[in-house]
Amino acid sequence: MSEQFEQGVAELGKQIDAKISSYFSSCVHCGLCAEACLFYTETGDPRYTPIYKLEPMKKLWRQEHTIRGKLAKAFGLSKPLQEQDFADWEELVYDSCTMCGRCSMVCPVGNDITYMIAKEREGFSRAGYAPDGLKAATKRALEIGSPMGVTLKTLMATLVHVEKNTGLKIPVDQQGADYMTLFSSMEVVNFPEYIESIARIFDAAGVSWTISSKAFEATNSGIQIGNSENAAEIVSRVVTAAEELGVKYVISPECGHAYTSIRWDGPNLIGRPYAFKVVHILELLEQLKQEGSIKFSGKTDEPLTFHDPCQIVRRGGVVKPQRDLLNSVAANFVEMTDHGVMNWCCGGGGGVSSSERADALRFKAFDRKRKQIEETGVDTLVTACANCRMVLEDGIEENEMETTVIGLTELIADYLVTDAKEQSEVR
Amino acid sequence: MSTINDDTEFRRALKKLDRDQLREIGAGFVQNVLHLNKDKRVARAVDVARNRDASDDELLAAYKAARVATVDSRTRCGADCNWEEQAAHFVARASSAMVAPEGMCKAADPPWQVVMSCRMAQNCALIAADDDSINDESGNQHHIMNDYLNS
Repeated sequence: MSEQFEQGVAELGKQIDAKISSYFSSCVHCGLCAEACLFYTETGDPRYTPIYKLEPMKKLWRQEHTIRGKLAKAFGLSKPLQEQDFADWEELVYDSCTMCGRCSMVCPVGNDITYMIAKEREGFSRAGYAPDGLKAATKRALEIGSPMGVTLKTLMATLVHVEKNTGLKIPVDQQGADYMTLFSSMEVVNFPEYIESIARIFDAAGVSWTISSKAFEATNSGIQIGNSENAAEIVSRVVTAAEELGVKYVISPECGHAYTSIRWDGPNLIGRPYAFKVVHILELLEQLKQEGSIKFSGKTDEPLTFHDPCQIVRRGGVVKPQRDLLNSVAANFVEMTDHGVMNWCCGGGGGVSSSERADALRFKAFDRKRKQIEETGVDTLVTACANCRMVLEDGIEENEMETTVIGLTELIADYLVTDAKEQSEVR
Repeated sequence: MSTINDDTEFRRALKKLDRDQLREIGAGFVQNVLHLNKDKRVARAVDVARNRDASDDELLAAYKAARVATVDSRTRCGADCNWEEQAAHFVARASSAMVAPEGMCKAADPPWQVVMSCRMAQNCALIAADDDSINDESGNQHHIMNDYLNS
């Protein structure tokens, strides 16, 4: 038994808190979580039943926290966890769980299975049983500040591009600005139009905002791999930068897990409340619209639907703003079945999309989303998460569908009234 | 004689072009950064865009191939970004918008998507080369437009 594996088991033991114990005690083995998981529904493989993915932690819980388990262990009737258990379960814990939270929604006894998976990942990552892609991304996030290796220099190069294209000055390290904006590396690398869009929207709305040169990255690989220390370090960088700049708000971008980590997990990770508030970009856009700070001209007639990013909607609670915004710029917005908090995952969250070995399973799981899209009968899919967008496009190409995916903030920016004269006409 | 040297005039000039002309000038923009992408599907899209006699079927096929090339060349979430590959991605994206049949490119302004993607490709190439010089792809595009309008 390796020392690292022993550390992993010890960590897994530490993660079994009162909630985990009560969840395992409460499970009635109904199997409803299976029907809520797209990895199970699209493969029919019972190994992908969410609660089954927790067997290693359950075994440890039973041996350490139940009389029956303790006796079984003492009399040699129950073997301790072996390295092979971790090796066998690694795929189930990482590749076949996007931490989308749909299983937690349907559990009749209220078990938050997603929370349990996150805890189990803490033990697995400590033991070294995590996908190589996630390990490397976490290392880069800690050493460079971005899981994709985006440095301040590369961000600045993109900002120069954005400034030339918009004619707007992008504020960096603006002391006392109201809002500090974060980006996911994906937006810097693949979707610079998101940055352009918010620059244009904020300019039109007169928002006082800034980017921090010390912390611009929104994503948190520590959350995905299951390493609270790393996750806390990444959150701390944002908190320190925001508090140094004296901003009132930090804006989480179109990235699912970034919102969960900075808005919901962050204060617990660093052990104190923030001196600022966190808002999701969709919440802010909706607020600006409600205040009349931004106005729109015209609507697209193109029928379109919305894919709900799990971490923003189901786990994050941002459900209505995107719909209100969409209805402001689209005349034919069609909801998917199971939309909103019960929407199905794209299949690539929770670090799954960063792991090449998970691709085949991810494409299989995408079949659920394919069916949802086809049922709507529309060819334009809007979403608000850069990772969802990539995963959806991958699945669409794999299935040779005609669907096009666009980002919500960009769509909003396309219909923004920016000219003072046009503003008065709209009024 | 056209002497465009800023983006305001450049955009205005683009707006005056018809669909065939936009494809032709788009081919010129993509050609200028085509050395950053080795994918034959992208080169093929440029050839089709240049051909005024290209049929709707040819354009659709070129668009679909270029779109697949665009998705194939992206950096996946969480992966270490290779800026040379990312430059190639933006060239593919430009080529896709360049040959997209009407209504198939969802960008608000498809010709501008071509312009921007080419500029972003050059940006990525400079990052890959650790080159601090200013990205002057916009200047190159103004020249291409002037040459086109003056020809």
